[in-house]
Amino acid sequence: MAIRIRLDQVLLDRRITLTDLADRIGITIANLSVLKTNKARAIRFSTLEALCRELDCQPGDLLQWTRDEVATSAETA
Amino acid sequence: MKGMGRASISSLLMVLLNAAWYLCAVALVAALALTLVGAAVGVHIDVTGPSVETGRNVTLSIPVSLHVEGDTHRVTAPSLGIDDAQLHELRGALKFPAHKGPLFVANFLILVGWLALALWVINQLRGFFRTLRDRRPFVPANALRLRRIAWAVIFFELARAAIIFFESYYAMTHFSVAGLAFDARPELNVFAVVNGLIILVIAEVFREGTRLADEQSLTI
Repeated sequence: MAIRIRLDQVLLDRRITLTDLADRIGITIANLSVLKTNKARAIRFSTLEALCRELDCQPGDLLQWTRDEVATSAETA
Repeated sequence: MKGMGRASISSLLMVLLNAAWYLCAVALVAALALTLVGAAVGVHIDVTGPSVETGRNVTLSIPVSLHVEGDTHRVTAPSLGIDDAQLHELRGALKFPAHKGPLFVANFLILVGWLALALWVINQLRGFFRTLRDRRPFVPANALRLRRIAWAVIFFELARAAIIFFESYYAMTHFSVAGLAFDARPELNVFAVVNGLIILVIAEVFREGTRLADEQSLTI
């Protein structure tokens, strides 16, 4: 997917563990792990809001758009 | 009574389907084994389907359609003042001693096929209701199971109609009875075919439901 979650980088910058974050925002570690490993299909505004609140960041700090292979190949064709 | 979960209609149906599956399996194995050893066995699957009894005196029972010749058998109701009532579209089973020839083999194969198909469909239903009992209806396997059941229902009805037609035709060309005449007409139960088509649509609904459930589970 072209949108990637930079949760691992933000957690590293703020020296917060996934377990701590899960406790603070009330989401299971399993679900946070899905988010962190970019396996999620979508993210709720409520989840994004909780992440931004606890990590003291903006949605743009957590989300990153990258050109994926499909888009790149379509452009070159 | 709730539809899904433990102590629900689904779990009750699971018990019934399990019993039906074992019954069919035992009937299938017994029919094959006893036929192979030549013992006497009579297996009746459906009043509208053929049945075969093997052993020393082989008898066949085939479904037939017939009509009554009005001149020979008059139907009257004197108390109602009716003297020209008619019996029509009669159905029954013609039982006769047969040799272990092609007709016997064909009917026996139909019987075994019937049982095998029933066993397979019941197994699909068991898998389906197991997921309902466990409260996880939207799994990819269920859409596939429903699609298989739908095609089996349609196939079963088409096969049933064809078998009855050919059995009736056989009776019509080889047997005669005073005052009665055998008919050979296609008797397709359109409602059964429509039921199959409805199940096909429900299968698609389940496929879409599975996709949505999958998406929901990956929305954090």
